[in-house]
Amino acid sequence: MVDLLTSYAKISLRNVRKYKLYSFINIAGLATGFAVFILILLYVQRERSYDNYHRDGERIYRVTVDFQSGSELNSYAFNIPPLAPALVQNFPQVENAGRILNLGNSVQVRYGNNNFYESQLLYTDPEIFAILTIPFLAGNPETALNNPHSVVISQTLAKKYFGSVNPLGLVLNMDDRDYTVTGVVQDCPHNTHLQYNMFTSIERFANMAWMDDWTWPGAYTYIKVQPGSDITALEQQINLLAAEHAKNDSRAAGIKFTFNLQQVADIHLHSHRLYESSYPGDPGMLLLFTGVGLLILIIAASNFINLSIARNTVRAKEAVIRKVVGANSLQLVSQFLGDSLLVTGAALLLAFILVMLALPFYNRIIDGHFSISCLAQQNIIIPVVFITLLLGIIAGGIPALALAGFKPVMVLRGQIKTGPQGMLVRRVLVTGQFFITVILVISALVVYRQLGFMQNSYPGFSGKQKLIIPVRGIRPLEQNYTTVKNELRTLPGVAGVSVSSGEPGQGAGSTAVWPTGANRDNKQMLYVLFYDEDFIPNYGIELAAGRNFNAGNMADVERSCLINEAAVIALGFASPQQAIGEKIHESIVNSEVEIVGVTRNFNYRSMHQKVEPLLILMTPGFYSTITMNLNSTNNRDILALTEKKWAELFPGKPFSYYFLDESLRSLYAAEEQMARMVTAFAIFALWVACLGLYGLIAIITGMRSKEIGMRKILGCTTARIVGLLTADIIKWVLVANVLAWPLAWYFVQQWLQDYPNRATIGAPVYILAGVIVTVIALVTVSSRILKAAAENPVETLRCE
Amino acid sequence: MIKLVDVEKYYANKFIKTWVLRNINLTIHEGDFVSIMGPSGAGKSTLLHIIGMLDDMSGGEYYFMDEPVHKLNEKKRTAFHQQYIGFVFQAYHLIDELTVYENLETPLLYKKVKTAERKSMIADMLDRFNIVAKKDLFPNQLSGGQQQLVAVARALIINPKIILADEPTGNLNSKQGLEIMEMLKQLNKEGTTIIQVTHDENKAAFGNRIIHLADGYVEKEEQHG
Repeated sequence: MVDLLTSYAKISLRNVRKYKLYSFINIAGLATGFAVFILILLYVQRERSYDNYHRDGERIYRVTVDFQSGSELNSYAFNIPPLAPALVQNFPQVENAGRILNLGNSVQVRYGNNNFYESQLLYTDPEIFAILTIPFLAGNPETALNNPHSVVISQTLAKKYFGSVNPLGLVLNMDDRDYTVTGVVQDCPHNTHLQYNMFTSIERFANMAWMDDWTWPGAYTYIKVQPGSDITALEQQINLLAAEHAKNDSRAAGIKFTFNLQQVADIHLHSHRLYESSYPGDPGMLLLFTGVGLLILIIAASNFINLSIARNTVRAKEAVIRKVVGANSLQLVSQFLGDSLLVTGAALLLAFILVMLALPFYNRIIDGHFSISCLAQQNIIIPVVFITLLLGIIAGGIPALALAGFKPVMVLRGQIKTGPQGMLVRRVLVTGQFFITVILVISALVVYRQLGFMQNSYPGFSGKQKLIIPVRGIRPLEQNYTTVKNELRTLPGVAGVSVSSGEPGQGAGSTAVWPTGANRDNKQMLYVLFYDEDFIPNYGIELAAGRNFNAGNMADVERSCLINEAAVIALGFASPQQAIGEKIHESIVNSEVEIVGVTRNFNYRSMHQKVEPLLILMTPGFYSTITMNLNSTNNRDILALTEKKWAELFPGKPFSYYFLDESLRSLYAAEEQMARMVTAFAIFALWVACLGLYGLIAIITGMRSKEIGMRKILGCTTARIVGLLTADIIKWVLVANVLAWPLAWYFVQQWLQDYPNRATIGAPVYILAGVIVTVIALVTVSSRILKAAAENPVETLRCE
Repeated sequence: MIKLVDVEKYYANKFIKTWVLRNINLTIHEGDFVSIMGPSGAGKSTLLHIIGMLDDMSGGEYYFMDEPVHKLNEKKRTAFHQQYIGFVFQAYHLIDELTVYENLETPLLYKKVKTAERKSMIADMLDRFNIVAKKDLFPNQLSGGQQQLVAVARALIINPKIILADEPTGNLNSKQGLEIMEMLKQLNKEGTTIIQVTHDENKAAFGNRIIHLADGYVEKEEQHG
């Protein structure tokens, strides 16, 4: 048996070497297909692995809330702060409940000479450690946060601030308050929706009114329920409990609350609410990528099957001789199966090498953290090996069965034909490959176009030459913003300075607003931003009616507001002019304000959303961002001067900054990632399809060499033969194009539907994709065709 | 050793039966050297393929060493190949991707002969045919005569009771052809039964019986000393 296998292996390897072109097409194509498949599998596994590591994960839920007021529905990822304690008190099936508050800003952390900004500080109830799995390396999770002035830090932070010293009991200064380190936890895994760096007690806010406000959502709320609890029933009970509280609360009038429980492992992929704690995954994208991975694999597999069939004639003779000298059918089938498994196995090996080489680039594209060790998990190995075996068995098995079934006499007498029907199958396969490829190329072009559209459309303000300086802390600019602005404005190269609650693209909070005198139940949720009087002119935002805020006008600071055109419509005013002078009630500061101006709609969030109704107030307590308009191109000098000035204005605070155009670009990171992925897919698909095309043209020119020779002898020119062969191939590529267009069009429409601001995708995009693919196909086949056409007919027509 | 009773072979096409062999009654004894002659299309090769169990017959009975071949399944027939029958073809039909040594080895592998024994059998055969120097060459590096020599060696290596040769010298020049025929004659003298198909009177004369086929019938049979 072993001897027989050695003999088979020997002949397989000699075949690989003898038919270099076929072997190359097979192994390179399959390896590409496998590699793409493995990479996609890695991505899919990561997305599906989010929060699957929590102990008793099936009993851990996040409680979320929907606010419905009028026609406006807001689904929040977090919940009202008093809910968690109420749940434990009222419902025996809730074993534990805990809140997490993430203020979203960085804190300044100091220990000795170490002084940095740190993000992802979570204010939590101590119960959180009993609900979510957050392994402690030092300290006691049950008592760590009992004292409000204690902090639990990650392993990395412990090393960063304390080196090898045991941090327990040492004191960290955070935003000028002292905290004792009472615990060190393992670094946050990448696959959780709730990223953390440090924990401190939510007790710090115990005195705040909003901690007991049943109408203000702001704290992520997690619960662990008793085994076997009825989740639907619990949801209903929570709704009833909340309704009871709302009855006695005037602020809750006109708002309908609905509570939902989300299993913790479902959050990353299936929750797309407002204020998610991390960028959610997209199950549609997972499906799409898996589909594309399979398609590329199918392209590679069809090349393989195609060439196996083509090689059958050659191998038929060997099979029959083996039969004559004593092989039975089973032995023959197993030999040919072994042959194809050898090729698929080699391709798999090469694929793993390719994946290892590609991982660093791949990590950059999908923002991943994959290492080579990720490949060793059974979730990757098992499906990949399964597919390898399956492919090997199909691609080797079909021809093998055909061969084993041959009557020896038929072959020995030369009666086996690979007739035109075989050619048709091959052409259909190649057409199918190009069909898929064209769709992918169109997709890549469309995604890039949409990305470019969102990045380059005029958002209603000027984002150029703007230096953004975030100021961290609590009410960080309330007292000194006038001084800060004046000081910074004196720097050379600075054309203007303004302060605001955030810069465009950052998003906004929202608040309930109603025109004074109107029915209070008819509330409108408006986004709200806080700008000073210089913001609107500095950003070049146009006014549709009325005036901007006035500097030094205390009435403006306290009692005036601007709204945008969308808000004019939402609040039911007939025109921007009509809105001027009207009074509205807003619930953030809980005051009545007069509309003094209406801005044109500008995109204060990202181009992913349409411009929603907006309220602009002047309240200095909310200022936390400085925008400097620069009029020089020598940014380095200005930065140096600004940093120096910063040190005077904010002694002890680290200086940080970024440019607005960069941060605006980063809003479209998801599209950029998708564009890069789809482009990579399209390139791989094109590469594998071209391998297949090259194989096909090799077979065709081989089979038609006698015909070509005859034509030349009868007077056909080389040019005409080139035309003949080219037309034979290219017509299938064109057919693939025409078939692909409608389907691609459908996909494009579906995808663009989610974007309120979308690029127009016309026929030129489709035609461009067609031209790209066809030209590359032509280049692929040209060398082979030219060679075949130039062949001396005396050579090809010589009888063997 | 071989007994054919009323063997016939036809190809059925919708309405017409095309007869290839009809009423073949033939007995071949151990030690015979039979030449089958006849014009093209007389059914010579088909008859040889049926005897060699490479082709099915349409009717009649075929006994090989008293076993009824017409009733055997494929597995049994394969067993017969492995044990008793060696083939030699006009076009040699060596496996192109294997060396001379490996071509000789192949039938032994299928017979599951042990490594040591296999080596000595191949060495013997290479020696006997005087092709030791060629053992690592591939078929396309050999002349036609040498290839056919290897093909005969491969047929012999399983120590068959009978060798079936289909125009074994058809592709060879006369000197090479003669050498092969001498080789077959010698094997016959040593006890191997041989059946060959040939066009050539001179080559046919190497046999002790010559069977003439025409249009699928046995036309006549000559006996030689």
